[in-house]
Amino acid sequence: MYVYVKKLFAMVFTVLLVSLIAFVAFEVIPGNPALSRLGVDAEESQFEALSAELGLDDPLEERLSRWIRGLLTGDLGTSMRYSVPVSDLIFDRIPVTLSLAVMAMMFITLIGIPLGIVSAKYGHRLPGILISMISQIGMAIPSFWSGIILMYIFGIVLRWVSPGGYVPWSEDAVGAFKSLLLPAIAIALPSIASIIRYTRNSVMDQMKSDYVQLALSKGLNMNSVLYKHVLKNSLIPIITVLGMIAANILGGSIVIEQVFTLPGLGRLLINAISTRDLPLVQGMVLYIAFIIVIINFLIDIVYTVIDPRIRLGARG
Amino acid sequence: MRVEKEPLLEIKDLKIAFDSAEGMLYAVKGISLEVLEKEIVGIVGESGCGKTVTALSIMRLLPGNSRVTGSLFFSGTDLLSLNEEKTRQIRGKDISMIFQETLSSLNPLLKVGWQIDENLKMHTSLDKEERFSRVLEIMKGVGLPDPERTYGKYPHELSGGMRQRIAIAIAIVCNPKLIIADEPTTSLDVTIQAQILELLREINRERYSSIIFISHNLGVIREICSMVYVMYAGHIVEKAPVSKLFTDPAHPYTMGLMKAIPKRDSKGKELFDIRGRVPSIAESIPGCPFEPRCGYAVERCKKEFPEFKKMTNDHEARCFLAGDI
Amino acid sequence: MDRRSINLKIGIVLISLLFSMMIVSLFYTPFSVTEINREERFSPPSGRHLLGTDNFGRDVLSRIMKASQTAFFVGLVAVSIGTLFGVTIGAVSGYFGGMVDEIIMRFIDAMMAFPSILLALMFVSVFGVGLRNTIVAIGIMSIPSFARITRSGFIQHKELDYVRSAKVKGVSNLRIMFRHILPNVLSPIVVAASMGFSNAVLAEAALSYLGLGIQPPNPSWGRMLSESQVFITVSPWYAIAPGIFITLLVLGFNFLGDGIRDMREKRE
Repeated sequence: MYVYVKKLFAMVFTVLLVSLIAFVAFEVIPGNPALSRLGVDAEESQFEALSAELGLDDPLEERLSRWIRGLLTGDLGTSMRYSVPVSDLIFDRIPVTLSLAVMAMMFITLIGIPLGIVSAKYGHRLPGILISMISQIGMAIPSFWSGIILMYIFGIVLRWVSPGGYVPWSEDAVGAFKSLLLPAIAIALPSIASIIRYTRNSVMDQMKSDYVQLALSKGLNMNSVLYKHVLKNSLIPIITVLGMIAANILGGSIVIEQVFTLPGLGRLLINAISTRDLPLVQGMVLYIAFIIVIINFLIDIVYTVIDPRIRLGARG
Repeated sequence: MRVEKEPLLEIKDLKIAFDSAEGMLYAVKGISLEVLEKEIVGIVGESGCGKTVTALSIMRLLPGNSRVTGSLFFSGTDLLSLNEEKTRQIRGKDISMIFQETLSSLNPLLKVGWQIDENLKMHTSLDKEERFSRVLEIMKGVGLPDPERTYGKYPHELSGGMRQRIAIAIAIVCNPKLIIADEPTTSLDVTIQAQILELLREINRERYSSIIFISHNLGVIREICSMVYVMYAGHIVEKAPVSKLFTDPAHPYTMGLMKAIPKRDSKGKELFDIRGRVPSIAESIPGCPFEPRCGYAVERCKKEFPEFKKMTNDHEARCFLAGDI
Repeated sequence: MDRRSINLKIGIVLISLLFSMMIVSLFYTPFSVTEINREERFSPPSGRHLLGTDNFGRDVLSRIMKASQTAFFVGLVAVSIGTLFGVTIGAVSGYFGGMVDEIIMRFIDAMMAFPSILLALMFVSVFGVGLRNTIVAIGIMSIPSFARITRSGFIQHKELDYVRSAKVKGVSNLRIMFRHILPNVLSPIVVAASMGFSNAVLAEAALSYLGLGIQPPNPSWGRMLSESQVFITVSPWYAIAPGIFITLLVLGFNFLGDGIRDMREKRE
């Protein structure tokens, strides 16, 4: 129990730290946001009025406390460009990015892990080495390029899906799925390759353990040993990687949403950066940090469920 | 006195080599041994002499690059000629094995009771309840207190001695005729060691299981074995009934091992250590492999490899000077 | 022996090919990189233009060759930054331990939890785009993995005898760290550098694709891909070629890193 409380604290601490950094970083930006909003030709008075309105002239401590208060109430400020609360903008975009992330994660776990196991089962024989080589190539292909190619082949040449654009789930489930399929695959590909490698290494490592010999000495065949004994033990390092993969998916979606022009969080972020919409960028960074922290927390929980040594405390 | 019967396990001229980048490396260079029914046979030697490899070869658990030649007969069946499926039927049921390190040989993520049950599930057609009661019975039989509670524990929750009892339970649950125990007491402390040895003796008595007991510790061998084989650098250098071995050791290596056993009155005195080291698997030596470390070696020992010299009916040693020292 | 060093060989071959291409491009490209040629717009690969032409009639191959300079340059400098700072931080953290270590590692862990592209984007959004900032952003992004690897190496070695005896002799900590321990920890750092290079290439490509990395007139494979995407129906080869080269360069350094790791494992 105590362990969980410690982790919770670490989580809160990290989020606060990130928000602080986000806040400070953007206050340092050269160039006044009001200026970029109004344009260089604006009148001095307009400029001053806007600055006052945005609270840019207030002392640092006040802006900081306003920011933190806003955090606690879920108010992340107002976007400069859209004049709409940041939180609204974020919530609008969540479905797209979330769908992509879930679909990508499903591809990764349902395709990557089994392939990794097969690759390990065949070890240094041809199928194993072949899968290993393919995963090497998969990790080297830039995801946005594979997105472009996929879109070209399936969207333009074959016309199986429409190239780009998003259909909301609420409108048409099948259409939504079709519009998200290619982007999800593009996001998933490098991580599939990566998890194949990790799974292969993890399983092959476990196969050298003593308990494998004992299991074999009971008369079990290799398949049984693999699935009943080795797999569970191999999962632990794989779960670690899932955290990294979640981060990759988030990062990947930032770029892929651009490729397929999907209205998700990634594109919102890119727009915000390009237009120097500071509150929006700040809010998004914070939100993403929050997600990352939660994911890592969840992974820690999965660890304790799977590994009785952590759950019950190792005796040594 | 040993009664001449058909041996349970008969190994003749067993050679085990590993195919490696440096060519064929021979870990076992032609050994012969026998285990009778209800017998406890000891194989003793320093690490690297090939005793574990021999044990694994009986279970046919050597890695893919191993090459085994010779004959390995168990109850009249040539183990080396069996296919994979038949071998698996024998493993765990007719021949089983106990390993040295229980923390790594038991699966850390599975309950210990389940790991014993797995053996039953493989080799019998009992249903779940029958298996459960059998497992509890066995756990009681190996001296585990409160089997019902212990069933659901994980290996790391138990002490070393209890884990070894679990490993023994796994090995005996299907009533095997032969148990191979590879250094089962080496990582336990002395009091627990004595208990485990007593447990093994009991199993041998009550269940008629033969045991091959592998160790580098002659003191432990003396406690439990009736027949002993001494191994060095992939060869058997001496074989004798345990009492004869200790009263009349014939091979210089055996004598050296005996001197190395710390005795109760040797506190403060230096521990005897045979000077030199065991030759590595890659070294090939024309004469007797022990010659460099042997205090009694003569010229002949460098050039010729000794054959077995019989001292009495069941006591032999591979040394030109056997019996004369 | 030979089967395992194949990784290394493939890596070296790929890298050498691309490197030579880059060197050649410093002196010669088949066509001018900037010259616009309206008549030859969107022509497919031919004997004259091996990889076709783009929307301005510029030779794609020449542009790709020129852009390889950017890829190598960014990769090299970014990895150097990452190595320099990462190794130093990791060494200090691992060697001295204690509170310093705890604090540093919290930062490193937090950084590693984030998608790396996000870190680069944050940097760029604060400090602006362009070649220099792209390199610095990617460099900073590489620091955590070097720090981690160096730290674990130092933790392992600082308890070893040769360090103890150096301390007893009165050698200064700094000297122990960099003259005694560091050479022993070099091998995994080199592997990380190779992987870091490929990550840098991918990161630069992604940033430039988004328009937030290398800006015109500096050439970049990533930016070529974003330009070509619009015209993909007309000239697909323009969209395919830069991607292939990115993949090849990344593959090269990945194989190299793997190969070095395999060699080291073999020695143990």
